[in-house]
Amino acid sequence: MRARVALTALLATSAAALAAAPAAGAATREFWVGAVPVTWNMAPNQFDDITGTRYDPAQTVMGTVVYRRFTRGWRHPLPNTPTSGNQNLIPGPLLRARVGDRLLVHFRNMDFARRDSHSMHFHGVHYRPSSDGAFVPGVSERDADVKPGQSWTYRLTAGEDSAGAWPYHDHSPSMHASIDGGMYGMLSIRGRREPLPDREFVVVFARMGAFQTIDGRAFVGNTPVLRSKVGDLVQFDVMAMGSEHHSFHVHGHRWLTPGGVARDTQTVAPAESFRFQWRERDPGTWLYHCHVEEHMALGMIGTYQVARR
Amino acid sequence: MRRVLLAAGVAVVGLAATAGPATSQHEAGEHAGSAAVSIGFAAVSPARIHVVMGDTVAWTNDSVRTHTVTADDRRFDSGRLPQAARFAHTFGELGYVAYHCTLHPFIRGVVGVHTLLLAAPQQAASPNRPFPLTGRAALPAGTSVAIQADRGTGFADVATTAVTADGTFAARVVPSATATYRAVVGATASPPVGLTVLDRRVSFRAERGRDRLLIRTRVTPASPRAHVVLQLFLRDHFGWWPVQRGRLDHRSSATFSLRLRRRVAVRVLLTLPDGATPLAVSRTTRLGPTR
Repeated sequence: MRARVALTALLATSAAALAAAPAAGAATREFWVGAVPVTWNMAPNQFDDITGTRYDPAQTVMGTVVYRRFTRGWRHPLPNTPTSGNQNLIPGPLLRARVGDRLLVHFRNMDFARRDSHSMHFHGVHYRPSSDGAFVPGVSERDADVKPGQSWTYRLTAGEDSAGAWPYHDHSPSMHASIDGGMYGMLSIRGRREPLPDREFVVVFARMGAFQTIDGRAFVGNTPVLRSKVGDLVQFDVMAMGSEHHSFHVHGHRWLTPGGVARDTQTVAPAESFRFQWRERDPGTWLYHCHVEEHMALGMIGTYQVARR
Repeated sequence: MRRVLLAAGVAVVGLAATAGPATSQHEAGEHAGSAAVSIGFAAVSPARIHVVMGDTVAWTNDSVRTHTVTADDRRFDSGRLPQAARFAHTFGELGYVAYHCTLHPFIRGVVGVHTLLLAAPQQAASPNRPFPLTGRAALPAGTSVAIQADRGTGFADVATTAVTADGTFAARVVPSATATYRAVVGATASPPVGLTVLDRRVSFRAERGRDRLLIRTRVTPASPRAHVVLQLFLRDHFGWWPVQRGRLDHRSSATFSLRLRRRVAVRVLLTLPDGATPLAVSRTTRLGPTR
């Protein structure tokens, strides 16, 4: 297969938050997000196709709590569509904005199953300590310890240095268990004049129980089947959560770093994130996976399908 | 341990059950080291509860009356609990502890404190299909646990498992008929629980809606509130893939609605609440546009 070079690449790493006022004409974007208990199956087809290993539901199904986007006032959960930002519950909704925008993220803790506190802590954007969402006993406030039935509004600004794909995650007293269970998602901040890609894929590497998952799913066929067609402007938003480093790799494609270096593999550490784009030219079924071999064997692999026009 | 907490806001009734097979309830009465009892106007609910030694039970007064939670042998006494007040007690000794309300002595309850508990199945099993049983034990990790079944001829081993680090254990049994089960370690046995076995049938018919296909599903014998899953055989997903989940209504039926762009094999499963463990499977039918 012919290797190819991406047209555009954009790299984002964690940066210090700097104070910045919203630019004139910037939008205020409001999101209603809930922490909701769900039953989650890490391998719904109960099968690792590559090794031929079958898994029992007792090994793959668990109760957990996830972020989900709702309509205004948390009246109804939004369906899982590209425009709603809701993925497939793990990761949480993709929250999109532009540089200069204000983001109001209204968060309600609906965890009436475990009755844990939860919060949202955002990377890459600007905020005051009251929107940090990070729990420190005696220091943090209600933003970091939102109890079941309570809500909090996180007030964020997408500054000039915020363009990129960034993590958000639970940083409450329950953060370790919550992150293990999938309470994370991504912010996608576009530049002021940056076009919306035709396809935007969120790829989150994280260990979950005995498995290594992509977006909470393990093994090819269970992990997201990413789809595009020739001619699409395709964007990958990639991050890792948990306590392990991962190595993101896509077959048959390359992208350029901001320094102009072609890559087809990129290391991503916990809570690190990056994004890149390319104009798709290569039809076929490709693999994307973590290139840490053990992680790939434990499920961190999926397919990327490119259709002819 | 004794404490009284005034609970503002939502009162907890029964147990907050987390979905998933590892957290099923025991007579509405156990959950990872804690259990909850609601005190009503004239009764407690559940009146009989089983816990593992070391568990904490919390009572909440959900009535407008003031009550007490007082052990018959006075080992604990909440004192007066006004509306919405909460009282918790940790049980560190084996045995059955009866309690009552000193203000309304006809309100009575019992807490059974055990070394190990087998969770009462919340749903019937299907004949000759694997069914998960779970439990908890106040025993060291690695302790071997025998699962025994009694179909009227006495208990006999049907599975073995071991206590995990978090004090839980799980085993799969393949029942052919209704039986009573218990977990056994040495001479210690859990209270028995019943597992009903029902041979259920899942059927469906497809109807064309305005722009969608309606999959009208029915389960017999009637299983209201049971979980059903619509699956499609999708090559991209390397097999059967759940696309919708639902619950049967009081008539034991459910309707799925979907759009199909191409012909695909369709089936409906009756499952445990995990949405994955099959109890019965419908026939497979190919549906979708014919071109």
